[in-house]
Amino acid sequence: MLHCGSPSHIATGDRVKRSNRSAKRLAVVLAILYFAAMTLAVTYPGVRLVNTIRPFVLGIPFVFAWYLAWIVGSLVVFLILHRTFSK
Amino acid sequence: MTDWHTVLLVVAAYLGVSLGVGLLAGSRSTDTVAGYVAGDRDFGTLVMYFVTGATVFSAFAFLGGPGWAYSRGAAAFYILAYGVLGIAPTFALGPWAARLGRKHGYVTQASMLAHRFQSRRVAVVAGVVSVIAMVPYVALQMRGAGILLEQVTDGRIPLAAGSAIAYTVVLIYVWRSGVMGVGWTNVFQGVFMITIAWTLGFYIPHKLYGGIGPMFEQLEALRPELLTTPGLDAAGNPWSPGAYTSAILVSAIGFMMWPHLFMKAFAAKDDATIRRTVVLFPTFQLFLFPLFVVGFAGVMYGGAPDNPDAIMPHIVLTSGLPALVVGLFCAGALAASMSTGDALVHGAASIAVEDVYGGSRGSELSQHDRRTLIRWLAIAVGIFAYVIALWSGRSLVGLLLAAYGAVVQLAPAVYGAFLWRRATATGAVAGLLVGAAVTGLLVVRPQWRPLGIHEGIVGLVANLATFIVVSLATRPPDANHVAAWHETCRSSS
Repeated sequence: MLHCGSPSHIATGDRVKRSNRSAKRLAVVLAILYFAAMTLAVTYPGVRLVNTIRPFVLGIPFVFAWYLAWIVGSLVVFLILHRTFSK
Repeated sequence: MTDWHTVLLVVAAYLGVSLGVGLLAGSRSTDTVAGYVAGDRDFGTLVMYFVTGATVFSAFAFLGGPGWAYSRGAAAFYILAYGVLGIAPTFALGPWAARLGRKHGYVTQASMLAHRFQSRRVAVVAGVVSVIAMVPYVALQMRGAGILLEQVTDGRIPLAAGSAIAYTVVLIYVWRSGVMGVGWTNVFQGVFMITIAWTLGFYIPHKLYGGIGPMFEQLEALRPELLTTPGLDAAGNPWSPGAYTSAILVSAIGFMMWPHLFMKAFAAKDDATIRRTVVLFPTFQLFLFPLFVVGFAGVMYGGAPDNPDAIMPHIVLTSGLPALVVGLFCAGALAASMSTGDALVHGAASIAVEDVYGGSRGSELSQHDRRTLIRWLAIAVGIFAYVIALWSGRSLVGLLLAAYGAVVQLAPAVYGAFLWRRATATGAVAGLLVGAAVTGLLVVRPQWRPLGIHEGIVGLVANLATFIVVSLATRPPDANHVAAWHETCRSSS
């Protein structure tokens, strides 16, 4: 590696740490937004907008699939959080 | 050999394996309170994942979930909604609690609160509320196990005997192995209940209606009111949007406040383990889908049972499934009951000794004596819950709802401890007592609830207001102590 042992290596390390911190903050904001949106989407009055049986999604009534989709979505958000935090 | 013999053989085999796993698990832990209650803080991701999932989903979810879908339709979706919302804050809170636990040696939620607020009173009040809330929950799990065994054996094993058999197994492995027994049996029981749920969830609609899609098409033509929120209430009338929404909110806020769940953060090996457990939780939560599908399948299925919670056993027993499958289903439902009941018995006993007894008398007892005392109390909790299970009958579900309302009242103190430096002990105790009193009053006088909103939410608002006002009116806590406490939370390990 070109930077190894040189002073610029330390500077790069600092920058990595700082960008890590901002990535964590971004992931946390994303998660908070997601779960706030989910709270509105699965409770009243929000759920009124999607409260229909048709169209079926993979054979499942629409509003049932809506609830399942938010669970699957939370898995994705958690995975993003986890990846950012395990760096 | 008649069919129910085969069913019983499968159930006996399941109980034998549970007992074996539970007894073996305890051989590794140390002879200390931390060993018995927090597994020497060494749980890996596999155990944490199943402990969380199998503890959250009880007999109430396994039999009650299909029961709700069957009798109340989309009202059941509230259970889908709150799980991930409830566990999400644990991504941050879990590691914070674990770091504090490692540094200060807590094994329970109440002892963590007592240390932050520098008050043993907090531990005693939080401990008493926790234990009062947990006992009816254990009793409900015991009843679930008893009813199930009674049903599948056509009454040959009465409720009292069924509960006693299943929970004797639980008490033996909790006695011997403490949280290690709870953890490793939950791995086995969790795998079991997930596999059974997903298999039956696809098999039953396929066999009866030719698939999940065709089943919902027929249901749409016959009972469309079951397929949109908020579904129906227990009497079969449309449920109120306010009650539906507040059921989601109270369950999501109360979710991690259950002491037997919260204290598992102290058992985790490291921060990453807790985070991975949270990340993976939605995969466990999705097993409600097949359970609801079975409930919906029951709507158009003949010979409806009186009690909606019996719909899943009813279909399994009468749709011509092989006895082996019936046995496996029965074992799966027992697994759901026992994997929640064991954590509750163990948690309630630990809290009674560490917080209620230790908080009021000081901890002059040795590690070994405290561990012995927790073991005896686990037996006592088991026997007490058994008596309640036999004598209370149907009123038990009402009792559990009241308990849920009480547990939610821990939320302001727990969140306040982590997020509000000005929060005081007197504020936390006053809030908890006012919240519990308001909730209790509304359980007794449901007609006083505004807009049908859940009593726990009303109690929570009163609790939060009291907590804030009293905290501000009392002397601020020692700033150095609180600063050091928060420093430990935020320090990465």
